[in-house]
Amino acid sequence: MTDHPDRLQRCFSLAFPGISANQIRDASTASIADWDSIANINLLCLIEEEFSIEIAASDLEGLTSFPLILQYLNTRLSEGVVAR
Amino acid sequence: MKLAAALQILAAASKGLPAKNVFLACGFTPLHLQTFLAAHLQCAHPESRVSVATGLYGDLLGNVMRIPVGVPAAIVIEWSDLDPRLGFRSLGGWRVSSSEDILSSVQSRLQVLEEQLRKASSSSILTIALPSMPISPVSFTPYWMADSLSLGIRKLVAEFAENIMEPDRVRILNCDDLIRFEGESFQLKTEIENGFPYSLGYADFLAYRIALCLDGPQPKKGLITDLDDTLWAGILGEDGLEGVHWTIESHAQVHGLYQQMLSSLAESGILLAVASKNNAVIVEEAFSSLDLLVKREQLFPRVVNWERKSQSVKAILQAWNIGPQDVVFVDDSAAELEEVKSAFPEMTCIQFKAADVAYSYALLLELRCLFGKARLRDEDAIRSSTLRVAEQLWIEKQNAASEDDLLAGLNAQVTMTMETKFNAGRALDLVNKTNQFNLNGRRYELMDWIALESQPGRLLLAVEYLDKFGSLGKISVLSGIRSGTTFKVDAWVLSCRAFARRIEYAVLDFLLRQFDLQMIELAYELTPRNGPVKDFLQQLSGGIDSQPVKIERGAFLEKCPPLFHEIRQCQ
Repeated sequence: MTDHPDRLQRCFSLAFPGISANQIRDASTASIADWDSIANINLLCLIEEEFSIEIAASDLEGLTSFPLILQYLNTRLSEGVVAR
Repeated sequence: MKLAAALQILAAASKGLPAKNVFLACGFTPLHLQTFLAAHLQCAHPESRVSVATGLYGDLLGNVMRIPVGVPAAIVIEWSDLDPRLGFRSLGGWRVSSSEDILSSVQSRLQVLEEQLRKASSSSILTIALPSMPISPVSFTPYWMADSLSLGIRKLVAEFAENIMEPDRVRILNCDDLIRFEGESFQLKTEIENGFPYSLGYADFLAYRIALCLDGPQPKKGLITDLDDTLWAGILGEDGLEGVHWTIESHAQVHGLYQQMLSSLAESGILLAVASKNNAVIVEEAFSSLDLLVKREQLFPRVVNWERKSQSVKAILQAWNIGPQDVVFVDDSAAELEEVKSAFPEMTCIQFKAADVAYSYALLLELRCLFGKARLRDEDAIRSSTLRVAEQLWIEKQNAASEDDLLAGLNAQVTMTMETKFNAGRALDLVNKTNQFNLNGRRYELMDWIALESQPGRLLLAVEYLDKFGSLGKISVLSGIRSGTTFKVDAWVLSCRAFARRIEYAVLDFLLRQFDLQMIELAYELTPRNGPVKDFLQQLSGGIDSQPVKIERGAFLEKCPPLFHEIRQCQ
């Protein structure tokens, strides 16, 4: 078990202060009205800051929900991504 | 500050707090600059809920025109706002033949911007950040070599800044400070993807400086310095007059720079004093015979003895009549600093380390920041001479038979001026800086202050003081609304430099007589530091528990001590 879900949840709660903790784990661009392009930039910056990684532009397209982002992080971090 | 921390600060601000609105005008996507600016302002104003509004992407000029009336604004300019070819998001060509056209376009864009900023500054306080990102590689020269296009553009921007700057209303961020950022400031990736040119670190760095420029802390008022191995290199008592140094030839230049800074601070109205464990006779001899860069008359009081430093500092604070929170103490001894800090936790205590030159440079910059002012006023120039007055007054006090005798012998003149304009002058400065004799501690934003002018019956009284020792300048400001035979005062301050001269009585006496008043009502509120007002009002009125505090004409005339001022009135 990693602490990635909790750390990612913290990023979501800062990017979307209006949604409850219960909603975060299922959050997606479809379910969160506030998840617009600006919020997306904020969220990704928070994730980059929290996990000390840089997310490539080519990866952004698939990062549209909490589970997908978590899966992406687990893969990236298990590969030993070079920290910034 | 990290982005997560900034968002946490903003999320924690209670929605019930009064709003503090600021406008951010820029041509790029404001993104994290907006977040960091709001967070830094929120830290500085925990009593408010800060909100930073922004305009439209790519429309700097329009955004300047969108600045709401009365709302302080930050205007952040980047090169692409002056010509898109200077940025990275347009593909307008970097042709050699474009240089003249780019220069001409920058010039005309700056002219229009200057015009709109002038209009905006008539109703809002502005802070401007000039372009700080690299100009795109538009020129044919190698990047390490300056080219005529970029020099020409920078010259136009410098002229624009010089034209538009007006310390009270339009402030410009110091470019020399912005280049001190360590790390990558520009991020092409986010510039291309999101229209945001700054790295997160630089956005935070820039936002912090904008917040300081928009609404920085009040400057400190006084500096207390140690002597040995601080003002000069060497131990005066052991090395003698010939053994202390402060020049480059004697490898003590850092001390000379420090003296130079102190003298400069004194000229800008900062109080300077000495607290030294030393032989008082030798120290006075040193100040008389050594050609120091800071002069004897700029340092008062000079408390030289073998007591604890905190005792000397206490005596200096009493002589200056200001609180420890407004004072900086500089000493080379960590133990002395700790002893003073434990006695005065609110005081800023800084160690002098001559051997560490980089640290000393940082110290000089820190002193400028702690004492820096947007502009100097006439009162700043006369403040150091006030020190001599204080010294002479203290001597007279020792010799006078009574307080009445002392005051009668001062030949004091008090000039009362009913001012017609509520502006950014000395009056507002005094209201916002005075803590001890301050009726209620209220601080005014410039626009709120200006708005008072339109209230029916509103008066603004400015008071100047002069006696045989010299002028203290404008030392008191009172404002309120006159209604029939009652005057309702809601702002009143008296500089601590002018205490113990019964000027506060003279002010009320003048109001009662000038307007034939029967009653003065004062919107008094207790603050942690306005004890002198409390004592004054308690002495004059029956009680200060009910609001407003009321002073009846008869009661005032009965309790007012003898006044010896010659009152002059100006319109």
